[in-house]
Amino acid sequence: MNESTHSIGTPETPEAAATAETAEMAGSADPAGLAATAPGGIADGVRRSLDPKVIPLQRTIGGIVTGCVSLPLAAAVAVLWVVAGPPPGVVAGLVGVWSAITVGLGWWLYRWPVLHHRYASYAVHPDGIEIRKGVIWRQAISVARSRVQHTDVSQGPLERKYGLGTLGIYTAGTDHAKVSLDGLEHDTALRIRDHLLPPAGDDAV
Amino acid sequence: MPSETAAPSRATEHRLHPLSVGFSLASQLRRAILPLIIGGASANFLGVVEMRFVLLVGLIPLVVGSVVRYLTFRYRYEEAELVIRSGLLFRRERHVPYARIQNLDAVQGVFHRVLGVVEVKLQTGGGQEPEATLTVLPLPALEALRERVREGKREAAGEAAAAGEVTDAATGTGAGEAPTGILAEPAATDLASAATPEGRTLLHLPARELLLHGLLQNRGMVLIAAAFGLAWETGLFERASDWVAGEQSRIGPAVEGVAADVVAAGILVTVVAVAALVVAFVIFARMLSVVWTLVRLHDYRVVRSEEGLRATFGMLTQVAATIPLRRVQTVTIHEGPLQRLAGRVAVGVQTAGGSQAGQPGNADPHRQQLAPILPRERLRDFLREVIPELDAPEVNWEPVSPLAFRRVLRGTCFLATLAAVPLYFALEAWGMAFHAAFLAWAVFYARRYVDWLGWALKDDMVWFRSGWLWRRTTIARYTRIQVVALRASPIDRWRGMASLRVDTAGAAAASHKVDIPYLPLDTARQLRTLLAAEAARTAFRW
Repeated sequence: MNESTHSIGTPETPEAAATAETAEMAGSADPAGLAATAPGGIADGVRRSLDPKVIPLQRTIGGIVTGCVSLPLAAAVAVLWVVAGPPPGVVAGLVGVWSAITVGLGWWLYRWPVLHHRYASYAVHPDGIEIRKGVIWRQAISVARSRVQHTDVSQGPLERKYGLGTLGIYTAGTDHAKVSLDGLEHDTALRIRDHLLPPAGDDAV
Repeated sequence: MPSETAAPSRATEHRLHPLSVGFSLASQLRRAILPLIIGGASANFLGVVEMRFVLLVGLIPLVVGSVVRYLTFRYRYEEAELVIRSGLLFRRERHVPYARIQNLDAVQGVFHRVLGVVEVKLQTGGGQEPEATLTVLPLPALEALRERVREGKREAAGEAAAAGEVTDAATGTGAGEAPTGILAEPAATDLASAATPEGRTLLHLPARELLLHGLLQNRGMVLIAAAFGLAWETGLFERASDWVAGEQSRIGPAVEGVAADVVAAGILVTVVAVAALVVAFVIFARMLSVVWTLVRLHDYRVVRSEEGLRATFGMLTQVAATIPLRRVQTVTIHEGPLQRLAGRVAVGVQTAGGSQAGQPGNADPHRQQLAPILPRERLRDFLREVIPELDAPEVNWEPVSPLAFRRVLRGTCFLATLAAVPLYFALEAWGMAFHAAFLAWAVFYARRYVDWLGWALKDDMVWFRSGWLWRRTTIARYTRIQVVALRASPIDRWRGMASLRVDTAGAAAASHKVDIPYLPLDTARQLRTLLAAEAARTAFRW
C-alpha cells in the first residue's frame, strides 16, 4: 500500500475568522468580527454579513404572510358565528385559537429575520465564494470561480423597494446546481456577480 | 415537398435511412396502440363506429408524421459542429458542436440488424434528454458520424494542428457513402462487427462470467414483477386467474386439494412444503436472471480506443456506447454480499452527458455499470484505464467520528422497537424474544455500518465508501468537484459533528454520492477548506 494521503492539518487558503466558524457551526452565539464595508475590491476574503435591510424586508414579507393566514381564519370564524350561532364558549375558544395562531405566527416571523441575518454570511475570495446560511440546519458552501457556469442577480418588487438583490450562482453540480444568496445590497450583488463571471476565452470545454 | 427549400450549406446534407419511416412509425405505434385500442373498443361498445375504423383513422396521422419526419430530416457535418434540420411547419435547426458531444450511443434491435441500420443517440452536457436521436441510420453513416466526432474533438482539443487535411478526407468519404444503399456492405450489417474499433480490449465477459453475474444479481424478481404488471395491464391476469380458479377450472380444486392434504399432514409438512415452494420460486427467479443476463449482455466488451471507452453488448438488441474518458465525473465500485463471496466487483461511471442512469428501460444500464462484473484482482488495472491518475484502489480509510456509532445505534434501536410493537400485540410474550433479536441485529448492524463508513484523500481524489452488505465506494477527482458544502443539523451541532457533501456533475438521483456523514466538526471544516481550495486551483473541463 503505497500511500500518498494528504494531510489535512493546514488549510491552504487563508480563512478569515476560522475560529469563529467552529464556534458558529458548534452552535454558540453571534459570530463576531464581520467587516462592514470593503475598502478595496470585493474579493478580499473577508467575511461579511448580509445587508441589515434584509431584516425589515423579511419582516414585511412575514407581515403579509401573517395577514394572509390570519384574515381568512378570522373570516371563517365570523361566518361560523353568524351562520351556525354556536354557544358563546365555543366562540370564545375559536377566537382564542385564532389569536394564538396570529400572534404566534406574527412573533415568529418577526423574530426569524434577525436569526437568519445573524447566521448568514459570505466571503468572496479571489478564486471563489463561500456562503454560510441556515439557523437550525447550518450550511457552509464553497463554490470555486472556475466552476461557475453562469450567474444572475434578481430583484423582486419588495427587494427593489429596499435596494436589495438575490445572487444566483449556477454550477454543473447536481444537488448544488444553483447556489443562491439573498439579502445582498443590489450593488454588492452585481459586484460579486462580475467578479464570479468566468474570464472570457476560458471556456475550453 | 418542403425538403426542397434552399439550404445554405457548404457541406453535403444527409438524410436518414429510408427505413426510418418504418422504425419511427413502429416506435410511435408502440406508444399509441393501447389508447387507440381502448378508444376503439369504447367507440365500438357505444355503437358509434366500428373499431377498425377508429384504428384506421388513428393510424393516419402517425403514418403522415413519420413520412414527413423522414422527408424533412437532414443532417450535415460542418467544420466544428453537426447541424440537424427537421420539421415541416415548425422548423428546427440544431447545432451540436462535436466537442460538446458527451456520449454517442448506438442501439440495434433484431430488426435493425436484419436491415443493416442503427439508431443513434447523441448526448451533450445539458438536459436529461438525448440532444439528438437519429432513427435510423445506415451502418456506414454511423461510422462516418463517429469519425467526424472524433476528428472534431481532436481539433477542438487542439491536439493535432494538422488535422485539417484529415478532416477533409473524412468529409469526402462520409458524404459519399452515407445516404443511399440499404445493405451497402454485407459484412457491416452487424453492429458488433462493424464497431470493432482499433484499441485495447479492457474487459470481455465470457459466458461463464455472465452466468455468474446473472446468478449474483437479482434481475429475475424485476422481470417477474414486470411480467406481472404487463399481465395486469392487458387483462391476461384475469383470464389466467379464471383459468386457475374459475368455475369450470379443474386446476383450482386440484391445487386446493393438495394444499388441504398438506395442511392435514401436520405443521412440519406444511412448513417444508412452503419452504420448498419458496426455494423453487427463488431458483426460478435466478434462472430467469441468468437467461436475461446472457441475452442482454451477450459478448459484453469494453474497448479503450482513441475516442474513449466503448462498451458493446447484446444478443438480440445490440448496443454500442461511447464514453469519452474526460467526461467521466465519478467512478463507483459496487460490492454486494454474494459478489464478495465470489470475489467479484462491479464498476460504474457517472458522466455529465444527460445521463438517464437510474431510469430503467433506457439503452444505458452500462452507464451505471461500465463493468457489470469484474474479478477483484483486475479492479486495479481497470480503474487505472478509466482514471489514469489513479495509483491503486487500496487506501487508508479514515474513520468518521467515534461518536457516530452511538448516533446510528440510537436510530436502529428505535426502528427495531417500532418494528417489534405490533409483534407484542400479536404474540404477547413471544414478542419480547423478537424484540431482543431485533435489538441485537440493530447493534450489530450499527457497528458494521459505522465501521464501514470511511473517507480518504489520495492521488488528488476524494474517496468515500459506505454501506455494509451492499458496499459502494465512490471516487471523485479534485478536478471534478463542483461545490463543497458543509452541513450541520441540530443533532450534528449538539454532538460536534458535520457532514460534507462533495457535489459533482452527472450524479443521478440514485447513484452513490460523496456525502460523508458524522465527521468530527474540525475534520469536516478542514476537509471543506482543502477541497474548496483544490477545486479553485484546478480548472473544470466538461
